[in-house]
Amino acid sequence: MIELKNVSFAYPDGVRALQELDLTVERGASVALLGPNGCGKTTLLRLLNGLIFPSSGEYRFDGELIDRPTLKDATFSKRFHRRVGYVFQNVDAQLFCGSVEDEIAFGPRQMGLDEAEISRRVDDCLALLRIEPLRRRAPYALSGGEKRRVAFACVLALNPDALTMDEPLAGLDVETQRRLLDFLAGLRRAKKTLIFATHNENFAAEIAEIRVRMEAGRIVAVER
Amino acid sequence: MNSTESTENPQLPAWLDSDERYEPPRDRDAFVRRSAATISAVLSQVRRAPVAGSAFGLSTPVETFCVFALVLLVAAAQNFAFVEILGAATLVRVAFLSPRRLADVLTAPFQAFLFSLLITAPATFFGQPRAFVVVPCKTLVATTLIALLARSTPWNQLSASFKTFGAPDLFVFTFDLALKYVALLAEIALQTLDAVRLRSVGRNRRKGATLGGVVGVAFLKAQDAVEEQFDAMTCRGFSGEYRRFPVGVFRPVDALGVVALVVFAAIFFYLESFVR
Amino acid sequence: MHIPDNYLSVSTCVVLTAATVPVWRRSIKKVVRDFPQERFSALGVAAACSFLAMMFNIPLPGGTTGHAVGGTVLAILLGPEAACVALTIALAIQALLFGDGGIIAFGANCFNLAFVCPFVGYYVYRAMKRFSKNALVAVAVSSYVGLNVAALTTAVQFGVQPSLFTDANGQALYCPYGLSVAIPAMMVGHLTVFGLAEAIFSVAVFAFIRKSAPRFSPEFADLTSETADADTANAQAPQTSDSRFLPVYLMLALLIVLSPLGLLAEGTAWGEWGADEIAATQAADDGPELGYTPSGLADGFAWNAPVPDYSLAETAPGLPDWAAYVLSAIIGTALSVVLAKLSYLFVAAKRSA
Repeated sequence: MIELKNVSFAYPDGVRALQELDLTVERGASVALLGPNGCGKTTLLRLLNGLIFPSSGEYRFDGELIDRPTLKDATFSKRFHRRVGYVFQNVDAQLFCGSVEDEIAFGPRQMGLDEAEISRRVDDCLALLRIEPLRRRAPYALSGGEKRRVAFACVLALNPDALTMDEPLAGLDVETQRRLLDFLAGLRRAKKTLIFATHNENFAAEIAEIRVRMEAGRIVAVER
Repeated sequence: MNSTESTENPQLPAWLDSDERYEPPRDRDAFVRRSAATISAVLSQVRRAPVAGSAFGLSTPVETFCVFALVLLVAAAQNFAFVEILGAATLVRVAFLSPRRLADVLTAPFQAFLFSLLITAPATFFGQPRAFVVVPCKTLVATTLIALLARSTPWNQLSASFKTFGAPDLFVFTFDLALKYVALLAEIALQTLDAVRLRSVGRNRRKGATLGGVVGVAFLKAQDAVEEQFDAMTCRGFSGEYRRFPVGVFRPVDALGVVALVVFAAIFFYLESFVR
Repeated sequence: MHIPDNYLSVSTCVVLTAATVPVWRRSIKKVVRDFPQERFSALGVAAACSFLAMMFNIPLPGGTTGHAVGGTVLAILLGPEAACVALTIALAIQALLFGDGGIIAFGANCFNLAFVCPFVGYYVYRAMKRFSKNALVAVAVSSYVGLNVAALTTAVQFGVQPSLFTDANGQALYCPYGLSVAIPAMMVGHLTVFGLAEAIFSVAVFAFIRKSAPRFSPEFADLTSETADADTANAQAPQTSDSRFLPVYLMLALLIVLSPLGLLAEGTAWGEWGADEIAATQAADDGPELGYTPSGLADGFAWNAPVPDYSLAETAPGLPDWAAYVLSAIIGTALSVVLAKLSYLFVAAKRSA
């Protein structure tokens, strides 16, 4: 489903964040990106989401080339973004609507679903992440853990084929982490592709069947 | 503990491996503390969770509409009697609040009242003593009405109710974003101020510069957040559309609100007919 | 009984204010110590009650008017210290907003109406309760006495002015009438009609609250203990003090609606004439007119109240007098409650300090 061929990426200031990556992820696989700070995990996730593009090499999603020109096509771009969900490490950046329910409905609305379907998805997502009481609250008025759950809910509402997550457990208490792990296990059973960056080896061992170790922008090991 | 013993711990430099004796010089941090207090007040405003019961027991859009209409009437009133009547009605509503909410609601209007007294005071010397009373009183009534609304309704519901009156999506979106960034910036500024305070164990004579730093940090972080947010919107397929769920369903009691508004409007036009 | 500005010399006002300060301090101290939050609503209601009582002007033949104060019944219901605070709030609203009672003379008015009236009435009531089982009689008598003693101190304050303060021509600077005129003039009305009105008002309020809202007052603690169980059953939905005092608020609303009755009294209360009226007043019904305006009155301090004399005729045309009067009653009532509740915050801050 995801194919990276000899992908490198350099920031405009010349810093080479990713170097010669080769990685194939099948549909339904779950992948942990592991490595020290600054090894390029977040950059890779951004690249997988089409926010940045390879300086060299190519990235294919379901066989289709993802690069600047292809994503210029609005229809293609929206279809792609619907299929790949991204939970940011910084949830504050991710939530921008006036209320939690509108936050969750944002994606489905962009997809042009009818209102009945939208409100069904909103209800379901609220229930899945157990945040019904927050429905009318403003996202910026929530605690860190609540915000992260809302971020998950609003990505899920798009029903993505692949879910990418940057440090999804960061800042969560043990109880919430546990619930999130169960939840991710459920997504695995639903054949969703999961890709997440983490520092937590236990988490990686529990959820991921593939562990990709990175160092200084390179993949140094792929453990299956 | 002295430096010879610290050789047992080669990892740490000697000064870090010994107890520090330190008597801090006197320093006044009221400036930093007050900035922090102001910011956290703003923050608690924006992040306000819904309180039980709205200002007048109506659904948010109706309440918003009525309050804005009444504020317009007060502003337009040339007959002071209308200001008094509406002021009396507002005062009665305010009198039923608990002491704490009372103070919460009245603080800002009272400040506005004093400020407009100050502004209009010169009018007395230019032969318009009436303005000295009328303008501040109008200010007081209007700001109290708004404060009643704003202090009982979460702000995100206010913005959603603009939508009910046909405000363009872009307007509502901008409003929501503004609120979000106020909350975000306030939080960052607060954290930075705390950091400043915790590290200010000595004397800091350059508090102004410190505060400048706080604002700078907040600004830089906000810029990052804006860029990241744009990415987040792209990831969720943003196509320029922004919609909100309607807030509050119309209930029978809302009709009462509309009737009250009509009554006030009638009184307004009746009284205005006496003004030449 | 509200002394306007310039009827008493500034020195008299200073002396009376100085005499009232310890009373205020003691009263506030006591209220700060004893009053829980929900009772501050009661304090506001008390202030509102007295504010409204003073709006019911009663005419007397001869063109003078007077009114009840309710100081004693408030003292009985909430304690004299709380009554003092409540009456001070009511007087402050009257003076500042409605120009009823002077600003400089505020201390003097508080001395008479917020100190003498409630404290005298309260101790008379306590004394009478020792001998009589009938609370209503005790309320009637004590409120009558309380009001009259307050009227007497007011009359004395008026009456000493001409003997103390005159100009070179022998004309009075401030109140022109001496003790021999002031005391009879004030007391005739208060010993008869106004005292009676005070007694009736006090008994009515006392009986109403005993029956409808006994929790309003610790005086009825023995009555409320029986209903305490029923109340705890109701307490599941947190009941605010405001809803518990609903009957009292209804009583206030009724008083507000009836307040225009106070307009039926034409004329001015003795000692409350405007500077333009005083020259035409007479020491006795058949006596000569005063014929001059005391200079202290003519050139004295004049406060511009936003709603002078509870009327909006000047600033706001089109509003009938009765409506303006009702409006004044509403504003005064609500403001009393607001001020009392705000004073709770002051108290809370003091307690935590």
